[in-house]
Amino acid sequence: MTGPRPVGQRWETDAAGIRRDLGRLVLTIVELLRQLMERQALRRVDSGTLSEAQIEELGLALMRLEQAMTELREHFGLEPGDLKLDLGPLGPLIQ
Amino acid sequence: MSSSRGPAVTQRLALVDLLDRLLAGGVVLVGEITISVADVELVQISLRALIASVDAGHGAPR
Amino acid sequence: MTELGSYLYGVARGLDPATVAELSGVAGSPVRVLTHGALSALVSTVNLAEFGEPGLRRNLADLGWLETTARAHHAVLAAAARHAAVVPLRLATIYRSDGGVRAVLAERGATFDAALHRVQGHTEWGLKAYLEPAGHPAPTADQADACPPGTAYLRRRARLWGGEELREAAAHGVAAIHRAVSAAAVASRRYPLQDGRLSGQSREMVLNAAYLLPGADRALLEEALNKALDQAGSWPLQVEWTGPWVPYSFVEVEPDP
Repeated sequence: MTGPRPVGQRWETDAAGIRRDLGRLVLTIVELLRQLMERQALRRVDSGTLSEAQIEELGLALMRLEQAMTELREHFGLEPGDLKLDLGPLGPLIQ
Repeated sequence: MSSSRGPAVTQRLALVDLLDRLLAGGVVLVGEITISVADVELVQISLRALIASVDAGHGAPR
Repeated sequence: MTELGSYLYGVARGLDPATVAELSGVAGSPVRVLTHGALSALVSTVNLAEFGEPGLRRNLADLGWLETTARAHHAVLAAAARHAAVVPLRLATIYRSDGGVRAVLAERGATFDAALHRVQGHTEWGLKAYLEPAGHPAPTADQADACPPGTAYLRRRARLWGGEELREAAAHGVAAIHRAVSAAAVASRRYPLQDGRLSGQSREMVLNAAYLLPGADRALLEEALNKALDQAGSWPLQVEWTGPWVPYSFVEVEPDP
């Protein structure tokens, strides 16, 4: 293995490396969607149209989603900072 | 001198505001003994160490 | 043998030496005036054990020493500036003798003249802005316990996202404020944000700027600031003025050749 490579800029040629790169790519997209969903859900909660029970159910679902993401990420040996999409002038897309 | 209206000579200047100006402002001359411009970086680094020690519970300066 | 040096505070024009005669400067040393033509250099004799290069490096890393020296340095310049145009020097410029100072006055006279001309009759004002956290206080321990897990999760996430939106709004505010006040000033400069651990400030700083204005009344700057704040509706910002300052932030000159 060669030295550190810039994130997302080179594809590994061995199977494990390919798996990790694909994993990172996919999880980055999934994490983006998760965050968007979460913000959408929060706006819904703020709108006051949900019952307490619905809010609790929504919260639990999002919480489980976050846990699942963490497990997936760890499975691929990735840090939270590895899942990032920086669109330059548009700024980072993932907080 | 924060939030002052009119002359406020008796109010105490905040050290941080002073240091901003005295360490990064003012004319820079290379005197015969002076810490040169590059060495002002040294002071910044030292300030970080100071901050760390302040942080460790010696209390912020007045 | 005690080695001595000459500590240079700044250079003035039209200075009456009597205005600094009673002052106590760095290391409690008396303040003297060296003249060259219309220029006056404000100096103190200092001990090189304290102000020579090894001593300086040691002392600059000592916050107590730094504070005492910085306040003394500033006090001398502030006193001189009450009655004369003053170009302040950065902290810690020392020459081996008064002769060295006179030589600098002679060599860089034109530079000093130009800087004095720029800042004469002007004052500097500092503007600091802090993030003012709105709504969303952290729940108390009791509240947190009473709350079912899914809802508690949503509350945490709401605070996190709220923080991001808050910072975005603050950034817009800061840009608008700085633009407005800069337009009313002759010159402006932004400093790095101050570290809360050194300032003892618990609020998050978002703007640390200096503005140069003719005269000594910052009303013009305040007007520009208030106008910008009014137009905005509400930005999550708290602002503070500092000053008037001797124009430290606006005397940058070319480095020595």
